[in-house]
Amino acid sequence: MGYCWRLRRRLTSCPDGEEKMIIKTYAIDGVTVLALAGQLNGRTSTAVQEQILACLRPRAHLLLDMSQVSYMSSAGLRVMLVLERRVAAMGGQIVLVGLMEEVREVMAITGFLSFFESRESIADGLATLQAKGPSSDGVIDAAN
Amino acid sequence: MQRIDVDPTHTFGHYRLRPGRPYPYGASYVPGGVNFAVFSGHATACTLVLFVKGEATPLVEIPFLPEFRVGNVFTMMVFDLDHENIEYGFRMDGPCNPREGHWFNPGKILLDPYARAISGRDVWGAAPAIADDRYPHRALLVYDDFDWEGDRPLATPIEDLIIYEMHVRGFTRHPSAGVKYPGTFAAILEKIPYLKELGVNCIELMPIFEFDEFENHNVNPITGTRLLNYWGYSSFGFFAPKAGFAATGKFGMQMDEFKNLIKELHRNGIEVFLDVVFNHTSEGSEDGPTISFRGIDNKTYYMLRPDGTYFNFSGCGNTMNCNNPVVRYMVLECLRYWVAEYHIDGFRFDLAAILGRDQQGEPLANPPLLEILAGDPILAKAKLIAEAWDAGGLYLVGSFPSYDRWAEWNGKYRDTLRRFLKGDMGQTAEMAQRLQGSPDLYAGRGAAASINFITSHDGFSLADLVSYNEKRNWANGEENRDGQNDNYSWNCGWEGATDNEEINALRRRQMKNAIAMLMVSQGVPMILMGDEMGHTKQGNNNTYCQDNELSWLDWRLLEQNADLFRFCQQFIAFRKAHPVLRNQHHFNQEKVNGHGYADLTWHGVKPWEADWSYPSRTLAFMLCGESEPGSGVWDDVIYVAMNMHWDNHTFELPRLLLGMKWRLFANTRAIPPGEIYEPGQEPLLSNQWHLLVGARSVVVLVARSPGGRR
Repeated sequence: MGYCWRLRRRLTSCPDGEEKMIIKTYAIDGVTVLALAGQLNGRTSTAVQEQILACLRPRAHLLLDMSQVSYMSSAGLRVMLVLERRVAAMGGQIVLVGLMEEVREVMAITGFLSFFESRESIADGLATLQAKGPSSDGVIDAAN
Repeated sequence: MQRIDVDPTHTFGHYRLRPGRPYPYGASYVPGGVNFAVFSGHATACTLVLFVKGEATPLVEIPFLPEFRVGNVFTMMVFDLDHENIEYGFRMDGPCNPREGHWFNPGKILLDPYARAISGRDVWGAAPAIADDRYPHRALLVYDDFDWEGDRPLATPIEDLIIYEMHVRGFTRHPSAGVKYPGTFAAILEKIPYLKELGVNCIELMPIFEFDEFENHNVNPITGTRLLNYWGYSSFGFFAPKAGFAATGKFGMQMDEFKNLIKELHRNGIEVFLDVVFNHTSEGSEDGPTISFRGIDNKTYYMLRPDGTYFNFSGCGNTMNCNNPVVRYMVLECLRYWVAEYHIDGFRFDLAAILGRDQQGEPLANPPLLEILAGDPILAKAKLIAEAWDAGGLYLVGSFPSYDRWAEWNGKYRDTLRRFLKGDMGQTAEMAQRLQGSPDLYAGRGAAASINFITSHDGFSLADLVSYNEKRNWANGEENRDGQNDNYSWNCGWEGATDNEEINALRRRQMKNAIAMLMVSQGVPMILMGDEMGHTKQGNNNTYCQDNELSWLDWRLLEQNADLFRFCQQFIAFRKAHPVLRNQHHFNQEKVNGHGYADLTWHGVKPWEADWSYPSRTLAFMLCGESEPGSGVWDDVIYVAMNMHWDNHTFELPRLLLGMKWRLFANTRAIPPGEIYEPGQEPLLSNQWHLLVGARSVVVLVARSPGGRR
């Protein structure tokens, strides 16, 4: 369990310093938890996508803790969908947990939520993923 | 492989640029940047104006260099933009001489005619987000991508459609709708189960192209409240869905929200038509605001008189110059965009007669725009429906240039049905035409060229059609001058609401009569939102400006008028169950088929003897046809008796083949729930020879075909 420092350094170094997306990663029982914090928008989404995808391993079970994501823009919605597609293509699974009400609503109204499994709590999310069978470690430096 | 033409070649301040591509118009993403392209046939110079979202003053203004111009298109690429946080517009310089048709003013910042999302009216009726009104409606940079999951336009045969004309906001804005985001695309999503329950398979949305609800400056003289443009027949963003109709409009996600709605409607077998308004723009007359077209190239986009003033065939101050090649191209590109990117199934063209006028306003015999739309490969499966008249007196119902593609709102159907319904004399002969898909109007084009309707957004609702003789439009602030005067309505004995049970019973029956006649007519039926539950607009027949209970659908009516809803529902199911009601072509009336009768035969109180005389108010007809042309499988025989006289009449029934029996599907005179039966559950008539049809009533019978489906 620990910070994904490599991710963090990159993501916090936005040009004007306004927009930050912090990703904390740790592993619980073979599930990689990515805790995102901040706004997922046009400024942060490219970096988030690149960094998470670069770290993915086949058959990863990913749990995205969204409880600290206060806003998701059109670009953010698209990053989420790309992530889901890539994880699925690699035989993995992805579950979102703790979506804030407004973020969840936006995802639902625009149809993006239907592509995801979403759970209230990390415990629920873990149970869902564990029911899907074994996984790889997910993100390479999850053990940092 | 990487393109070698995507690197910046110029700079402007710290912005990196490159000569752009003239096509496609508008703003589109290229690697590392955005390509801007805008046409003006008469501008001498153009500047790109970029804003940080919501800021009053521009972030930067970048002139298009002379080498950035291809023909009459100004185009350049700008790199490294924070694209989600940018709004853009143009300044155009050129002659300002209205007599010559030129209105250039470099002081104005202009909206891109090809803008695909527009900010400024993000939340319906909310004070404009941008206090600075120098550029109130701003183009956004958008994503066109969407995961349709295999969805395609449904391509339902047009004759199988039951169209439901809907206002996006009005459908769910009323508190009784019980939805999470009232008045939005998202709320329609919540109401899909209702639409399925009713049975309609197509919704036709009143204008959803971006418009300004605040453009109306009238005040309701009764309440003193400000009126809006509620209907929105006043587009300025032909490529942009109205943000204020989206729950996510404040986040600029109206595109995704609308697409998601369309995808879900398609999943449920419901097509989506758009009511498109290409006949004019919201820039109005010479006194109107300059938003886009007037400042970009007035002389190209508008139809001008020799003195430079606007023709007004739209009744809204200006007329789009639809048969100018550039404008024609824009209309085509626009419709292609809605079909390709939004999976729209069809279009209803507001005041479409204008689309057939030349640049001097004269009607064309062979209008290029209408022909291009009819023959376009991308639009090939989309339904094209014309409101075949305009406010300049051009009335083309039955003669609209169709190119074997165009259907029409059949205004004559509406008027004839209304007159017959209220008991006018001299209507039976014309009724016979309307009931069989108006072969007098659409010979050679087929019954499906006729979009049949008794009510639409223009004019009375069905409940008001049977409750008011005169329009009551005082609340519109135009001293009751607006709105149609020829309503062919009848109040059933009292003007407006009443406690008189007899009158109310008659009104209810008249509404059912109207629905029944609509549903047994050949052609494509269209229902006005709310008519299935008796929605009233209190006699206002032009609620274009009424963003309130007059227009909003009150869902409590569903309970109050449960029998009316059920009547509509069962009649829709009946229509769907019987292919003989949905012929693509007109009847030949001669063919003797397996029943021994022609496909369509006319009757009266005596079989085979329809009364076509002037005072006649009764008419009956019988349909005998196949389930599918050439299938050899016979649909049920259907007999419809209509008595719009104030006395009861006994109709002698045509004799059926041995073994066939008449069953009662509907009798509007009967007491609910016995006035209509579930299709397939119709009870046998005890008297197979004579049928009592009550005063102002419609009776529909079916007889199972021995070799038929059941």
